[in-house]
Amino acid sequence: MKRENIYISIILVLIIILILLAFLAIYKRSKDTGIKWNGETRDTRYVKIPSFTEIYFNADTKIQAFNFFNPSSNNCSMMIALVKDGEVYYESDAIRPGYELREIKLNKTLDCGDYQFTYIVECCGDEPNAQEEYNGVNFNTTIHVR
Amino acid sequence: MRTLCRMLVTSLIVIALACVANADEYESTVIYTADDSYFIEIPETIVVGEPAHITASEVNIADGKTISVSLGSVDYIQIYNQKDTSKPLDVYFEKEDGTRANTSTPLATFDSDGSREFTAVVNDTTNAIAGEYSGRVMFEVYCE
Repeated sequence: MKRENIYISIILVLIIILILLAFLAIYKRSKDTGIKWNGETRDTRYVKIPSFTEIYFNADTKIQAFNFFNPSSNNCSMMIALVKDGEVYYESDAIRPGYELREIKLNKTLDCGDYQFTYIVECCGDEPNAQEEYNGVNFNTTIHVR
Repeated sequence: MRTLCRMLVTSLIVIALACVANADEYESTVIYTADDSYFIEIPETIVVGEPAHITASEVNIADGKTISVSLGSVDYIQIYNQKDTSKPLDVYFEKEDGTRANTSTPLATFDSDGSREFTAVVNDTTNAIAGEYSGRVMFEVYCE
């Protein structure tokens, strides 16, 4: 009976050693051959940009209500501009993630009417006066002036 | 006095009911048009040869409209080596189906939330100067 117990203990110890060796072999192999590739070689960072298909302004005044926000999930700041036929009507400073514009001052007033504008969003580094320039978006938008 | 009050109240109720019965019905329509809205997600930077995505989210646009993301009036963009800007490389954008975006083919279209993959490719690198090239993409977005 006692001898049987010794045999069982030896077998158990051998099994544990075999399991440990198997784990070590798998670990070593994974170090040599790399990990499974998930299709992405680098972490590409993305920028979420809110659209404006229609903007409503008041006639004959430079101060306009305009709500633009840089979602807090972004890693970069944004600069926006409103351009018509190459003429810049408004250009913001860098708006950091989580910050918003509520009121803007146009460079010149607009008369009543509907205008086709390009609303430009340029992404830049998070720090003020950052030199990094990332990709951006030009939205085609209609500004209704009443 | 009590009888007079009752008669007065009864006659007022009758007059009111008569007025309601004879009243013309006017219909009014309240109209409100909600503007199209959506978010576009673009890569901050694109590495040539590596897949990237353009995503439209929280898409709330009128039926029949489509959001188109293109390269605007160009078929490709140029990237430059900062050491020598005289030999730029032309970068094209290939969609998942292998076709290239150009002035008449948008890079991605959406009528609801979704994501489209694309890859930036360089045609000819024979004149490339060793070092890092960079350039900026301004995607053009329409909702029509």
